[in-house]
Amino acid sequence: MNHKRLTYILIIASPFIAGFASLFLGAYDISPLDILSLCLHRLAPFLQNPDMTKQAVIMDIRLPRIILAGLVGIALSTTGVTLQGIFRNPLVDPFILGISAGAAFGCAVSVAFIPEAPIQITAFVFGCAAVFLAYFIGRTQGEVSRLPLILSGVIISAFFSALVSIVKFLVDPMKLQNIVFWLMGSFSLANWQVVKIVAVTLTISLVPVFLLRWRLNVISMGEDEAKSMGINVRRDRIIFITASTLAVSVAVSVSGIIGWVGLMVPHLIRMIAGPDHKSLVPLSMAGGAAFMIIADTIARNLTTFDLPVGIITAITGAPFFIYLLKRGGQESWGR
Amino acid sequence: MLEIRHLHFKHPGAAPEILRGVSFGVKTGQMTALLGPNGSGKTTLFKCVAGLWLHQAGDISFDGQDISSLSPEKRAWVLAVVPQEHEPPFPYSVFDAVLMGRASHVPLFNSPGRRDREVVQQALEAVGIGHLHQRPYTKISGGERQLVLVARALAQEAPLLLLDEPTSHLDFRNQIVILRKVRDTMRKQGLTVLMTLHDPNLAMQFADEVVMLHEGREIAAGAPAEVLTAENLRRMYGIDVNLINYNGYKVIYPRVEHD
Repeated sequence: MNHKRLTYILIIASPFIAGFASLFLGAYDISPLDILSLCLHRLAPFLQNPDMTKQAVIMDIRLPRIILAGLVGIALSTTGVTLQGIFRNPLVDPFILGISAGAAFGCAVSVAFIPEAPIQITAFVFGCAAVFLAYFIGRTQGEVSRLPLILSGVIISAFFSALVSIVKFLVDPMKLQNIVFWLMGSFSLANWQVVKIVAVTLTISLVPVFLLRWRLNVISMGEDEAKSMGINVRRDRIIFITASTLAVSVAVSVSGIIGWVGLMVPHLIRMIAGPDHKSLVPLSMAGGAAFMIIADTIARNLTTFDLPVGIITAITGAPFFIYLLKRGGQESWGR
Repeated sequence: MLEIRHLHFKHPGAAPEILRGVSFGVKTGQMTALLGPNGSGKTTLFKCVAGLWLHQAGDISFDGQDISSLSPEKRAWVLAVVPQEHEPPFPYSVFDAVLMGRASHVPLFNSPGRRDREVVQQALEAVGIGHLHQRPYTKISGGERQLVLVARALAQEAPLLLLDEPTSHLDFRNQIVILRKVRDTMRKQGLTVLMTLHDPNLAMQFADEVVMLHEGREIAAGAPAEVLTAENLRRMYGIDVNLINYNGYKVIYPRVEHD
């Protein structure tokens, strides 16, 4: 019991520890002393004059980037857990179901052709289109079976990726460069304005998911069973899918396509803390934030360039997926 | 009392009617078994009563209240379904699996509370699997898993229990264990049970009443010893059977031609 509690506390604390450590890592040297002097200056401005460059690096570059990475990590892992629960399928996440690709197409359209439309709105509209298409194609005889759902996600992903290619082909070269870089998935454009937008939308979308999380247990037993236990499955599914799509769309609109996080984090947390969604959802939120902060810290420190973090997650994600398939076998694929 | 009157059902677009005016009653505090060969409409009838499929004509009422138009939540207060045992996608603990039965009593934005946990503990003990509560639901035997589903239905605290072929995946021993547990709990808690069964011998031994279904209609209903006659069984299953009297029980024995 105590051991379990300690594990939970460690997981919840992990994004704060990772975020704090990440402040000191980067091209420009920052020491704990600099942070201390910055805090002191904030509390008592008359005391001393801190180094303005260091202050700018901490406050305007690293801190918003770390917070944004954490928020996007929360969005992706929470939606991963939610989608796995409602589709009773441990192998889906927003990336596999095509939500990311749909949202990316929405963003590309907005950037390329209709700059007056807010990028988050177009991302959400096409993200919704993608997930509901994948859902209806994958739905056979009243139930959403595992393999058909994954296949229809693959189809939808491919379809929207093709549409993105059309946009890339048609758009002028200056904008093309932006789109291509942003699609790789990166936090290099983080600033406080972006952090605010993401924080507000994530609160709106993830609060219902958080409050309804226990019901994911019941829904994961299958549509008929959940219904006979008194759950309004259709209504709850729509709430969960819409909320997830909103969260993912906003994440994609600020940081591009970062795959596999929604698959890896919930699996790791499930191995540590068990499958009960009551604890799985909050722990995946914390785990997702920590994972993303660590991945982004690696991305910006691995080479002298600022690598897109999407590349890092894809490189770790593919072997992880293969491992799940090989280990789980029947358990993963099921019927 | 659960009453089913003149129930008609066909799949949208499909030509043949599966249920063609089924009528029967399930008496309060009794165990009624629904018998019928594959294709007789047994499963369809079960799904209609459970509220999963909507019939086109007729009505289903419990204690005078029409239950087919209720919301899932309100229906769950009246009837609890015990599905056939299966493996869930995630290895929930036995306790968490039974706790799901409380869904209709937990407000939308809440999680189960202390009273829900107490009810679950009682349900686990009622079917005798209290010691399994920490075990993953995926790592117990098929018979134990079926008991978990019974406990889950009990935790729902509905007066009517619906069991979908509770013995179909079980070995010889566990078939008896399950039915005995269900019958004992039913008596103790004053529940009403309707279950579908494949084996008429189990119906003979356990059921208070039997409903025999053939081509979407009931052909006989009543006490097992009275309605499970060689004539009715032949008509329903399309095979010849012998009935052997033993210790006041009748044993149904299919006639097999040997060369």
